[in-house]
Amino acid sequence: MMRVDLHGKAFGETKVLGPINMEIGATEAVALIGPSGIGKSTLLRLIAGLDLDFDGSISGVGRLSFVFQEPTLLPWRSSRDNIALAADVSLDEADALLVQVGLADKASLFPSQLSLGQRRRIAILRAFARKPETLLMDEPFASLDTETAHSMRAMLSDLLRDRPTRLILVSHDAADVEALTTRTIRLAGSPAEISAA
Amino acid sequence: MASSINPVNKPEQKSGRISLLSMIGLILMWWVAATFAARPDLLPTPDAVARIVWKEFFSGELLYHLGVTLLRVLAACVISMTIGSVFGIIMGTRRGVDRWMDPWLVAALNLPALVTIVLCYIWIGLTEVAAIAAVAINKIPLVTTVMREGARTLDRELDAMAQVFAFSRAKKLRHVVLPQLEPHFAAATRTGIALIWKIVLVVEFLGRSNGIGFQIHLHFQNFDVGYVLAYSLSFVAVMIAIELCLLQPWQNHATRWRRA
Repeated sequence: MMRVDLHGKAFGETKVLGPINMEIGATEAVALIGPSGIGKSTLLRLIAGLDLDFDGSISGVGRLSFVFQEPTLLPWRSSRDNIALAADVSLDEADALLVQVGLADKASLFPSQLSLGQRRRIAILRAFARKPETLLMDEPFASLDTETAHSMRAMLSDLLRDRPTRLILVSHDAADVEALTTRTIRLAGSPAEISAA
Repeated sequence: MASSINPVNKPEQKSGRISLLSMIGLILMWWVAATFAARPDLLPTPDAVARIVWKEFFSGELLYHLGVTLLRVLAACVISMTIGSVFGIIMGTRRGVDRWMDPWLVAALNLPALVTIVLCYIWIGLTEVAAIAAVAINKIPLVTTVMREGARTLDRELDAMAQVFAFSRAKKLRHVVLPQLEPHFAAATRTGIALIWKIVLVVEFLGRSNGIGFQIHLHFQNFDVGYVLAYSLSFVAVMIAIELCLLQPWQNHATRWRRA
């Protein structure tokens, strides 16, 4: 069980997050929603350990993967290398994942040779290749056309079915929330807290 | 099989031809000027200089002195690139250190090479260590400045990715940090080598008993312009060959993903 017992998070004088308490099970898929700028991404970065300057405690995260808003791939490495290097898996394992999602022919291409949708797929594969106990996703389908977003949602759904993991998904798209998660946590207010609504 | 013409290489080939023609034009201008001046003691013709190069090459003198100077250039380059890169990365990533060290860097950048050389010879003596140290000390501030600029522009999101995916320090340095710094490292190396070999000649001129700088000093005392040109142009040719055959291909290979 992952536990977040946050008393508050501030940037300088500005308090962004207020008291937030939540527990998420080992294979539970949770959507974190709320208006833009409310602090959803900030909360994900606290859970990821990217920002340690906060009041409170977070425990039980375990091995972590993060799908950032941007694909955040190494531009000087091929798709295959990006997966293998970051997730610390063999090139064969990386290739197997690429085959599974129909990107086998893109294995040796650099990220700049891929479309945004393909780069996002690689970022998701990289996250799953690490076999995470907790998977954080920050608007993974933003800026994609409806059709691409739909196919990526299906891909992610398949991956989650094959490799159950704790998922915390930040998204503004109701379709993502409905298709991929079983519980919704809404942030509201200033500083943001969990809203009952 | 269909003929394959790579359109990407066409501008490079054209640029290469223009560079070659430009160099031939320069030599022709030299030839005309030397012919009209009719003072071979002050300005010998290119063929006269070429004959000296030929003679010195087969006597073994040219290769010996070229080799000695090249080793000094290499040693000074490795030392200055290593120390300058470490300083640059630290200053570029730690603002507090940068604030403290920036005035030192500005002072070092404005220190004349001649002063460093003279001081090294006085403090250390007329030794090989002093010669190489003097050159490296001159080059370190330039490398530090270039690498600091590179370190300041490191991608924070890639840094976050490396942290989330638990990259070790060595893995992050190799796969995340150094590839981002590579263009700056290549630029520092290329401009640095051009600077270093000129300083090496001054160091040899002032305090060594071998090397291209020493030979220039020797023939300067005899006012033998032909030999001065023969030795200096031979080394220019070697440095251009290193630039074209080693540094440019290395940089092209390391940055091939940018052109993909």
